[in-house]
Amino acid sequence: MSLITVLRPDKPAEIPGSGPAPHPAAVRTPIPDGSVLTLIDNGKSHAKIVLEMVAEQVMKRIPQITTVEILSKTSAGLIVTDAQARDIASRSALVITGLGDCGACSSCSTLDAIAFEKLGIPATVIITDPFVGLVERFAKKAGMPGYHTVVLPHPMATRPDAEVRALVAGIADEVVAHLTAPVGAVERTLVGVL
Amino acid sequence: MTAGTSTLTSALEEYREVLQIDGADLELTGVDAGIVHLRLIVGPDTCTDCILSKPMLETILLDVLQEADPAVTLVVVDDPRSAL
Repeated sequence: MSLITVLRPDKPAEIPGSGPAPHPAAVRTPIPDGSVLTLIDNGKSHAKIVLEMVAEQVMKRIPQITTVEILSKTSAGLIVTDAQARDIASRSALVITGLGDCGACSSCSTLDAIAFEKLGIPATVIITDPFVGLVERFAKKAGMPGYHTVVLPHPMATRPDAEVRALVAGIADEVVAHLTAPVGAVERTLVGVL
Repeated sequence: MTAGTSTLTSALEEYREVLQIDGADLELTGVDAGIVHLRLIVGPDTCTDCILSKPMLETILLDVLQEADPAVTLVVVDDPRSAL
């Protein structure tokens, strides 16, 4: 007798790691010299630019980071696969995901960051302000209620580079704090958000 | 027993606002024995890739609607993107 596997695209999505018990975020430990920072670029307009600007600022503040790697996803509406996450986690000290400038990309970038936290890699996600409530729901579903996000004003996609750079400079300290300070110890800064 | 449609419609407001940013909307089309039927409305200017996939949409909307009415057991979204 042969086995038939039925794939149901209409089945409600299982949020990775979802379950009743909250999962702790990665423990923040001292970052060794020669560390790798990985950026998970979701492909949204300006996402890679924003992440690279953030990385530049982070490297100034965490000199132990000597290498920046970038994974560009093929779609902002996809979550990194388990294999991709494990591969990146095996060589990265820190991960930053983004840019959450729409509903799907904010949610998926948040789930990406949470996936790395679960693998023991400190991470953070950069989203824009209208999607804070939505990603909080996904974080709760994924077992990390109250997961931190760094919030920029929406939309980022259409802003001139100079303005983006100024906004990024304003969140750099918060990004570093999320990656290095004990979880829950960081106050959210709303840069340029009305 | 499921609460009235006005309760569910109010609960959907939060997520409709998020969808409207990406040029889409949601419409409540029916409630039947705990199953809530919704229609995703997309137009020519909608960023269809910006909207959650149908399974993720149904998962999060079930969460939203169950908060408003614990009798809701399933959310079914009529998603025109699947016909594109």
